[in-house]
Amino acid sequence: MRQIIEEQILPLVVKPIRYQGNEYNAVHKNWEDCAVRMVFAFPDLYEVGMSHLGLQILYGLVNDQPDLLMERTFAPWVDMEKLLREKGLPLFSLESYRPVRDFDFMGFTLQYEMSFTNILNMLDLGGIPLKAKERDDSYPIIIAGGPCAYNPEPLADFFDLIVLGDGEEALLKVLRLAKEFKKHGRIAKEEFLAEAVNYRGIYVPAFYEAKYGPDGTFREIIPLKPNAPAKVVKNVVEDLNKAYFPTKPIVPYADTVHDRVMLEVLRGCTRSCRFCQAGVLYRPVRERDPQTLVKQAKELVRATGHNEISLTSLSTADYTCVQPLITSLMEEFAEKNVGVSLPSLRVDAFSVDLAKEIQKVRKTGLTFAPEAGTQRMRDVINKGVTEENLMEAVTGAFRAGWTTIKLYFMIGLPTETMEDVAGIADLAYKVVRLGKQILKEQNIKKPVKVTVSVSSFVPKAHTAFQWAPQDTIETLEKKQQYLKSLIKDRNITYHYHDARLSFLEAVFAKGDRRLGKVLEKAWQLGCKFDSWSEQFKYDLWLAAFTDCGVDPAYYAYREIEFAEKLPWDHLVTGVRKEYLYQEYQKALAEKLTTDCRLDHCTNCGVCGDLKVKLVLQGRR
Amino acid sequence: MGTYRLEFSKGPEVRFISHLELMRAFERAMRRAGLPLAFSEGFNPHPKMAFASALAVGVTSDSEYLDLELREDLAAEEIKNRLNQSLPPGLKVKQCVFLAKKEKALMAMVALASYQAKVKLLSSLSQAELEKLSAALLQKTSLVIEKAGKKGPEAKDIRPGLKELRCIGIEDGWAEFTFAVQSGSEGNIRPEEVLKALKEIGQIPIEVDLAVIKRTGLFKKENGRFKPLIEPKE
Repeated sequence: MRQIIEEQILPLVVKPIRYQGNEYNAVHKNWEDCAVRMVFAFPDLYEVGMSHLGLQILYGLVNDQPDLLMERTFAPWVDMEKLLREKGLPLFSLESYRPVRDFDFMGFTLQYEMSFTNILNMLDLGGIPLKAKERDDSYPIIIAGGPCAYNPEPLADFFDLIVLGDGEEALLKVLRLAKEFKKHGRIAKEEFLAEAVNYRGIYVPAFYEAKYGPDGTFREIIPLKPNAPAKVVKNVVEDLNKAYFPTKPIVPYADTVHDRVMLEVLRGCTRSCRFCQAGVLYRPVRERDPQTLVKQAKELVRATGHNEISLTSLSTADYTCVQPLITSLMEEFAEKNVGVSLPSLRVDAFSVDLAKEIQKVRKTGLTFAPEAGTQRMRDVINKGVTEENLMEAVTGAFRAGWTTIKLYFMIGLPTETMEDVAGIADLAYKVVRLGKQILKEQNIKKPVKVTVSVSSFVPKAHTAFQWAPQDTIETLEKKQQYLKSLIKDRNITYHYHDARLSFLEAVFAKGDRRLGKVLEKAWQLGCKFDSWSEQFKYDLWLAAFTDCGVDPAYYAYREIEFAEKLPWDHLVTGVRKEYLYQEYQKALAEKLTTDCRLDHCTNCGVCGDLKVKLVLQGRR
Repeated sequence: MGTYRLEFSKGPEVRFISHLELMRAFERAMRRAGLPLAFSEGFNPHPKMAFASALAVGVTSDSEYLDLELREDLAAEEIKNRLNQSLPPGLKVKQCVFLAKKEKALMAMVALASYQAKVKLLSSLSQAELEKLSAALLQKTSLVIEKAGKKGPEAKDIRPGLKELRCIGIEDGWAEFTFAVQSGSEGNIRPEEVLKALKEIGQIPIEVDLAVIKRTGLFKKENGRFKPLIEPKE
């Protein structure tokens, strides 16, 4: 198969490098020597998937076990898919060029809802029946993890098993269990799954049944098997210093989204922004020890040859040891021309100081996310950022020589008025004026450039805003146009996202099992790569909803009562529902919640219920 | 401060990497090998490394060259060994020599490139027939093909730059040609252009898009003779 693909297909496709494999540090194990074989499937392009740290962690972890093997596959771009189908060739793994069907497991990472059609397309291209119940023991077991696994209900028909939470320990347990089963020949799927649900954080959708009321609202989900837990609780790696860490990550040839060493400094964030799902899913905050990080950075640079180390996490400026860590890394690497970077900045002067320290040479733009235009709105979402913070931050940036500032905002947040929308334009103008003044004082001739990037709020499961309705597409578009009419300045560039895509994202983020048939229909009609605007086909999506008799507005536009059961209630992040609802009420009352790292415990429930704790390496 | 010239090969394992990706792969391998790279000045320092010629996506090579500057002198053999331990599969340093005196830019030295191309035959022809057709093509005084230019298709005569063209064998319906063409900044000829001429002017029924092309050598011109960019020791 490799020969046919290399000789007859790859010369004809765009960026064949996506399918070549053979990267430095890619692992090619002997197939026969490994008891259990898994293919990691990323439902998007190679260059997106290879930027995902989770892939590198699990790939290293599994391949470090002598009895296990993991290879990779990605969603082929439409040109590649067409040629594979024309030649009757299946989706294959990059390492051994084997059909994905030959593996014991095919594991998808669920990073964003709008990649779901690609999952179905990849299964189909792999010659694997889409639905779990249509797959007998001769097919791979189809599993998933990642943030969207916390509401996998729209995908319940398609997956055999879902892993909740940090996957490092749980995945190995699942694969080792499969090894036991394989001693007796094939993995008997039904028995295997029945055994696997005894492990923490393992959810087998087929072992549950969803019930709906006569009015069509979701009622409850109940276990059908005696040992299927009523509540599936996520896995938490308690000590990140002891957690597995890949020291030999794959080094892609292709220009990937994050083409650098990814050094994970901490997991979790307790800033408690009320729209943020990651802030709930990855609790509690667990920091890595700075000495461990410096050691890992050295190993990683030696093993990859990258010239940049990115300090990744949900909010790196919050790392208690960020300053000493950066100093140590700069000392270690400056001479070797290896730079340090921060993926995002907090909106404050401290973050700009950090950026100044690390960006001594490379002056790219700086990005801040105030998220909303007025103080009232920022209080609703508990952003904890004031206009003063922003002005201090950008003052620092302009004074230090940056001339390009990117600002991220959201529209459509609960309680938002047109005044709040106008506040976005006001802030942008204030930043421009400030920038012009500072550059003039400093005699810098370059023009100030401010990019305002506005996304539409998508209420997500397990957040304080899960009960809130999303703005309709019409309202969002009206707000987008209003903002456009207010921003008439050569110094400001304004971007906004397709509101129709945000709508579908909300439908699937808060969806239930009835969406499975819509998803399948949309895929049949030709939907894939939905998050790529040139591939997004909204009319086909609408046709799929109509065809299945499902009203998408039910999922996205309803204000949900607290008493109503939610389709994801049985999947436990550790943060209590009551706490989230209290946060929703506080949002409506414009009241703030503090960060438990800085102040008292906010009783979200994670530490007590999951018997874990905050791990901080220094004082703040 | 020492400058070294390296000859390396790009194998089928990395056939589909672009020139930019190849340069980055070398830079990373050098860092992994712990070589004391010399960097350019300026806002975005990059290692002082210059390649002789860009190799297209899909084309492999037996013989590519790059010049490399290091902050300190190392034995040429050590550079070769250390790099070979750090390069990804498919990239291999064949030799490394210390450049005693300053030479002109590697890229400006390249005058000729030789290739080997395997192409699928769309109808059955014997090797003798193919040899005859190739020879006939070389007899022509001009070989005008169409190439994509900045403002649409342009006509290009590749005959002046085509130095050699032979069919050397047929296997399983694939014909193998070797040819040498002018290369470098002036009058550069791409291997696909030669295949296009074979098909369109020579009327040889071949599948050009799926050709498997390998560069077999890069040469400079000295006193009217073509020589490899690292001259063999006497």
